Amino acid sequence: MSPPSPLIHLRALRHRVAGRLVLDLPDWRVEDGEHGLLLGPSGSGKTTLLQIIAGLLSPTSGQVIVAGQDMTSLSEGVRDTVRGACVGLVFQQLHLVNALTLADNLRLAQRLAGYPLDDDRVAHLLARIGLASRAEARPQQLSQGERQRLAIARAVVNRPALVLADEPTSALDDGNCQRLLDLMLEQAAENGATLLIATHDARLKARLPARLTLAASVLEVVA
Amino acid sequence: MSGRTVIGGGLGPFGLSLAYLRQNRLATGLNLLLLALGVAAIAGLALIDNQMQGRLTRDVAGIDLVVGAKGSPLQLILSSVYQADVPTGNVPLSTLDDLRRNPLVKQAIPVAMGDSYHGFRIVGTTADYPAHYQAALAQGRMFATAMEATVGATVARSANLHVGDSFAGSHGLTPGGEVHAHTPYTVVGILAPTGTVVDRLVLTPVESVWAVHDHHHHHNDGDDDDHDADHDAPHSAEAGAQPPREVTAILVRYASPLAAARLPRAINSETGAQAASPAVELVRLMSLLGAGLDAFRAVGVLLVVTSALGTFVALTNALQQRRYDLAVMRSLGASRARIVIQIGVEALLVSGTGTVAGLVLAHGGIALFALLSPRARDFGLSPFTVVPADLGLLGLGIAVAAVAAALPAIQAYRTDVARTLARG
Repeated sequence: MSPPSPLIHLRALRHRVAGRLVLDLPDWRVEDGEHGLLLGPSGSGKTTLLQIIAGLLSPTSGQVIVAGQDMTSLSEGVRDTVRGACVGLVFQQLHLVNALTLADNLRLAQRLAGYPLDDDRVAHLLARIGLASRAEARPQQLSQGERQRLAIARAVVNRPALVLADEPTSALDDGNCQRLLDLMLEQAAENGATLLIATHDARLKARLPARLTLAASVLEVVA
Repeated sequence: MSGRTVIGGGLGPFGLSLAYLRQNRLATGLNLLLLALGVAAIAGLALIDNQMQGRLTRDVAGIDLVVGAKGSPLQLILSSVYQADVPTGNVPLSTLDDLRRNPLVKQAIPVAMGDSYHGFRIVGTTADYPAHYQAALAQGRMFATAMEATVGATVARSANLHVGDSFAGSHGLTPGGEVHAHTPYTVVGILAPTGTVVDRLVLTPVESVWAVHDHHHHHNDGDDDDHDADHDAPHSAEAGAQPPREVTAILVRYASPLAAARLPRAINSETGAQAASPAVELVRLMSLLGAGLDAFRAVGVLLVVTSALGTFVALTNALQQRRYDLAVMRSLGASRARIVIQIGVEALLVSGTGTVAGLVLAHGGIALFALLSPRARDFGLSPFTVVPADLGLLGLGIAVAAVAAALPAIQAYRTDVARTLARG
């Protein structure tokens, strides 16, 4: 038996934008069932790295292996499919769909990923984030904290193996920050997902394992 | 992606489009209105144009020459062929006899007018007249003797006349004239609809018209539709010295093409009557109307182009504001093709709805117009005909959608999802 394969494995990853080197990472892995933290100041390439891992962006060189799939070797169409099925994303700007109700925002994620609509799952998640009674409301009617929670619900609705979150707590006060982190860890545990959070928020460092400070040293390479 | 994501459903391309259009209700509504008005203008015009041309051509078909009193040749054609203008005057019955004897003439049909019933003209003529328009009898028989009348389909329906009814004509071609109560007509037949001028006429032998006016004395009540055959009427001097009998005009069919070269000139120079060619006058009429129609058409085209541009701008704008949503859809697993389909469906939905609304508006508007305006009814407008332009406009609507969707679709297709999402 081979040792358990890591959920994320970055190999000699380099990325250039307009000729400028923005990422140059050593080998780095996150094991299945573990959580990771990407640390670094604004502009250090955290978002870029998350997008590369999500298959939204192709790196200039190196390999990105997610759940056993080498994302860099896949066509764009297959990456879309893999992302829909295996990766949940929480964007810094959330990017909720304001034309749709809260419930439809979650259903849209199911549908676009090619999963059958599962209203029980949608109802369960809305209840878990405390928005069950407002399923038919629109995202713009929510508070910032509620919107943040909805974005997390959308990221986990398809039970992805990997949840990537970009500065999910930067706009929240301490209380909301802790509750949101609780929610993310709980959902990750419930679905057996790995969390990878990119942040410069020191409040998160205290709650997640130390080994993830690796990101800080990695990003120093860039600087 | 799987078929499931492409076909229908609340969150398929169609459902999502509806959600977005609903979100921008005001802009969507105004945009639809603009497109619908443009399409309605063009469609309405095409409908009127089509029916008018058809009607004008049908009424004049087969009539080579119209002989009547001197005056405006266009007026002569309008009054005696289209029954739309007042007559230019009368010609003596001898003119008809001369024409009938002329070897260049295949057929000469007299028309004598002056009275009306419920606003429909009573035309004294021969059985050749309904035969010329291929008017078949729906009920009863053709008129044979004086004071018998065979009425057109529209007249029968609108004046509620049945075979066996009798009615009195009123003097003049518009309602409200003096009623010729002593000399009632008896309906002996009703014609089937023909889509020509005959539908709106009461046909009777020429003798009826003479008989009605023999009973009367000289009512020169201001109508200049004088057809009257009063023996003792001194004002009929224009047609010569008190001719025994007169008709208003004579519709002539040539026996040979040679007649076209000789007959009009002979009549115009050698008799007191004038000969007018319906074909020539129709061309003149169309060129008169044509300038107006062309201007109207140009305005309609401008409207459609404007609204097409409006649709284009609105759609481009809406999709520009939505670039994050479209990028999110990609990040949630949607393929590029799914995004392009989304945009295409939305464009088609807007322009299709706008175009169909415009067509409904045009046909409905003309139906309303026909309902409210007796003039439109006279004209015989039928709003429920689909004219070729309607199909053309539907095509145009789809073309507008295609053009309006193309740029945003290409943009969306090329969008750098990663950069769009990061910029947020």
